[in-house]
Amino acid sequence: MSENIPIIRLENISKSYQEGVDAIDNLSLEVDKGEFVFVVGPSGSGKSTLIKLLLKEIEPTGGQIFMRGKSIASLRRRQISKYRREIGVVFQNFKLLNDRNVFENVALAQRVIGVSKWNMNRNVASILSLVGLTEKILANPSELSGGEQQRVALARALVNRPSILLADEPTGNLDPKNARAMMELLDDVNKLGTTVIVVTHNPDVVDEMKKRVIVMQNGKVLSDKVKGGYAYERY
Amino acid sequence: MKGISVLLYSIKQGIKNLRHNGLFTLASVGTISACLFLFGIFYFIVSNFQYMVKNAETSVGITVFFNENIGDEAIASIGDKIRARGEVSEVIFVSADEAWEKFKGEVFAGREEEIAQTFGDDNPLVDSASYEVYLSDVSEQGALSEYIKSIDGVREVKGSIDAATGLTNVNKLIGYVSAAIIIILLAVSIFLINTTISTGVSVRKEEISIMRLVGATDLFIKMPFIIEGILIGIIGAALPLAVLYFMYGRIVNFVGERFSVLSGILIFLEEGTVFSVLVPICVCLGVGIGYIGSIWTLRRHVRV
Repeated sequence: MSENIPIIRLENISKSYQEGVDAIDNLSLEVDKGEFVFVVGPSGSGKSTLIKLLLKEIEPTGGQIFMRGKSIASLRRRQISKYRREIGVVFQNFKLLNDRNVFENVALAQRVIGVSKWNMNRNVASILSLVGLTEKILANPSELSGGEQQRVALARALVNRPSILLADEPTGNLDPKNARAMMELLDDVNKLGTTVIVVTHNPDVVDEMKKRVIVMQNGKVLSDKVKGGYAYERY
Repeated sequence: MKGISVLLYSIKQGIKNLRHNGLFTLASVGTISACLFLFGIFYFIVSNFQYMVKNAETSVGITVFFNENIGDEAIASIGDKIRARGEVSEVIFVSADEAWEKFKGEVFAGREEEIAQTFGDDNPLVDSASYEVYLSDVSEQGALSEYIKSIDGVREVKGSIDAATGLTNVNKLIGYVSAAIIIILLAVSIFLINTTISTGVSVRKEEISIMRLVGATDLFIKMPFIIEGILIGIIGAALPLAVLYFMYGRIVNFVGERFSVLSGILIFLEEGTVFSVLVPICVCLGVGIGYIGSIWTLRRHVRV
């Protein structure tokens, strides 16, 4: 029964900001467990607002968001923290701490959930090996290339084994080669069972990967295709 | 185990914050130190003044005179009734002879021969036996006088209510003034802690946003700042306490030597007595200022 419940369901979600801007307008969509979904669209189409809503950083002005069939609207502050542990996030600007090395940046995610030192060392080493950064474990983020920094961010997002990975423009600051490598990593993560949602402007990666593509415009879903491509969507 | 590791991490981060915000930390520690130093000075003054007033109060008594020919038994009975009162600390019987000897000594000092010729063995204060009643709390003097007047066999009660009220009022005034000054200083300290923690929060804004996103609880994010505030408070309390401890004995000696004429009045509290109260108060105030300052700031700046 629970296998059939979408891992994420948005039901008539709206979000208006105080300035009167409607960032999301009566949007409904479902994402199944283990899916790989691209969310594309022009600037101001509501993609970043969607990410913030899923992370419960902001509240919708209408509608409900369900995680595994349960509404997240009534979560208390402590429950919000636990809810967020289910979601790993990667940003375009990496959001790494420059006063800490690679290990410490990744370990931060483990530390906040109270993982013991021994387990933390093991988990961080394991995830850094997955993203191919074992040799850079003691390096400072400023000593790494853009691609390496994004892999550190990915390692941090994955180290707590989230069910969902949200990537907001993960290739935005990467050259084509690193962008492709990053998408391959995300694909690998997806194959391991994690639901992956990637917000992007990069048509190359979308076209190449042949995944589900949701096109957004003016806060609405313009199209939703199972094996879509960026090039086909003219908005 | 999990709680301990989170606490250790928070302490480490709190100490790191202190170093990171060096100047603001110094400003906050300095202000709390100044505040608690002044608090300590006021405490010295207030506690010692109260001690001196208390000593003075015990010398402010009530004199109770009896009806003529009342008899020793009735006098003893009056004495028992007075002693039974809770506010009475001491009751001394002064016989008519003792009263006359004391009077002669005070009024006719050096004129003993003249007095002997005039009065011989007569005691002009023959009906002036009395009780000198001392109180543990001088403010109760009015009520006690009224009670004693109502006892059978009591002719007259003489008190020094003005002196008693005056001492009580001065004591209260010093208490109010010091409380007002200390409250203002505490408010300034909390404001400065707020500035320090706000700076810490803005410096670590990025880290806080990352921690929120990876599922850190409210407490986990706030704990290092709370510990930072408490550490500032503890350091801010320890410094003035050390200086005050060093100063106290010297101040007492200085005042004692400088005003040796008043040595009967200027009786100071022992160092141990003062600091057994001052140390816990200052540490609690320091920790309290740090805690309130940081919580107040975090409420406004950090929200999961």
